[in-house]
Amino acid sequence: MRFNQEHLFFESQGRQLFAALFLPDPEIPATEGFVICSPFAEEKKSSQRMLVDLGGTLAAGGIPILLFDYLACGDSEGELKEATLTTWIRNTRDAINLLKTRSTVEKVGLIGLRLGCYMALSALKECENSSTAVFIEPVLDPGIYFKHALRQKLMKELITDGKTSSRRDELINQLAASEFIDFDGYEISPLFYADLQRQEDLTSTLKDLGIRTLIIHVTPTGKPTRNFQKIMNEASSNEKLCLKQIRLDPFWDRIDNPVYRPVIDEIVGSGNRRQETGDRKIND
Amino acid sequence: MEDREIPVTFLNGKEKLFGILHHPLNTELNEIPMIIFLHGSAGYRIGPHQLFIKMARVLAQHGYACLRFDFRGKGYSEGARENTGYRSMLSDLDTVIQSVNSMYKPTHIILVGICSGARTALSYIKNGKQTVHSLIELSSPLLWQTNEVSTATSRTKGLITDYARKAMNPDNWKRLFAGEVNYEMIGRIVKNTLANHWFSIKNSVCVKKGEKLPGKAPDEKPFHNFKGEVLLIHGEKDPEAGTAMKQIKSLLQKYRIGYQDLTIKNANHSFYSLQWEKEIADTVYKWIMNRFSK
Repeated sequence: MRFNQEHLFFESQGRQLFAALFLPDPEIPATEGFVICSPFAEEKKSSQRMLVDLGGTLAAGGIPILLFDYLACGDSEGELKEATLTTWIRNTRDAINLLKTRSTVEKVGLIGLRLGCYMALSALKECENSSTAVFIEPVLDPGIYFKHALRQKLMKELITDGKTSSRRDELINQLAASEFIDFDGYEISPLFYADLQRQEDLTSTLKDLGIRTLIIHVTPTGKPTRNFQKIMNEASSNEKLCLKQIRLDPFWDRIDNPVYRPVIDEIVGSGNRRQETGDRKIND
Repeated sequence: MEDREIPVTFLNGKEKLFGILHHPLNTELNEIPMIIFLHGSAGYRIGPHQLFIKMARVLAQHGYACLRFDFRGKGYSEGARENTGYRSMLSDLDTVIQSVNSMYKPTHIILVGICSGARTALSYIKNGKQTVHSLIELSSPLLWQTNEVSTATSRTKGLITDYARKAMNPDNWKRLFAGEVNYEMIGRIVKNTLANHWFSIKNSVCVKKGEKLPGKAPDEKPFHNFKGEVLLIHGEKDPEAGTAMKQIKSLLQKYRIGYQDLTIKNANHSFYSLQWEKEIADTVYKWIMNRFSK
């Protein structure tokens, strides 16, 4: 099916955010669409094409898609020092409303990648008529994620330079003392950090999540990571959740044209399985 | 916003290229220079750590038009990702410059490229059909393969092995993890970092040994349509910087093209730090404003 790709700026919380709408043939009205929530920082840069290809593939299957940039990310307005996760969750809700006004859909599902899953799950909690969710390698505890990200940055310095520029606790202390830190070219503000600290770990909410959700774990070894085992423990009792494991390198963390097609195929395949039962939602 | 940021598309054959045009407020595009940003093969129009967006917005505030576009197969541009390469990037750049000249008629065209985007720009100013007035190249990989390059590549492989060995020093990990050592995370990060490094090295040599850069117009002199100077910026810690800079300078000297070069102390290939970013940005702004007043 043909689809039209439209690029625009829309207002969210008084600022202009950039978005791409993937709209299928209007002759065939769709009842459900999806908003795609991107990851953070260089994970966004490395995974951008995957998300664009995902949007195009789903739109070609008749599903309206909105892929957008949060405040201060990508082509959206703003500087990172004024952004917080709370702002990005509000941006996500505004993106959901935009998709509803620009298409025929009554229900909007959410697709998240990495930290984008946190924005997606948070936005879902206050979203009426949410239908379905897809979480790819979800990050559901931002506080732990940020600490790991700092550690990862320092480890990369160790590998490439043979030494680190700082220690993780020093960087955290700087933020706590209202100083900015340099996260590989991204200016992390005390405001961002303070807001991050206030965000709750949403992992335990999975067991009570009332919408059909596909959770995809991308693992290069074929075995679940420690972090994902925690998610599995919470999700396994909820019949609305479907957990899938795909053996791949982490495409959001690689620059060497990594493979990501199996993830798109899994998402589309889940939707097709639902279609065979007469329902156009994406899930297993 | 200090400028109008407008989604634009260009057609290369049957495939659309997507970009964002930064149009300074209260200015006609045919009265000012246009700066075109060229991303590397690993990224898209925003640049590493959003470097291109930050630079474009500042330049637009100072009255310069900017265009950041996605090469085919990247970002929002059409085309298969697997088909993106040296020739397709050259073709895309030619299409964009032609389109910009036709649609907006800027007074000057200035190219800012990073990594393979920089190499594409260098190739274009040597053999391209459209006039370019200045080039700022960031971290261009090698232009051609030589014995020296093979040595450099081996040396780099050796360096990476050395770093990996250093990284395996348990004392270093104890400091980082202060207690529980997450071997799973260590393994993942080491593998990804080395894989990304190796991709950069492989990507740095895309023409075979002795092969000439393609696209040479037989009846035109090299740099026939280049009317300015080149600013070379590389990071001190970029493994390929030394050899790449030598190659670029030898090419420019051969054809008497003026240039300046800057090595950013301690900087890596994509300048992943706010301090390095600022040093690049300040240098680039000065370069442009000194040469292209509005």
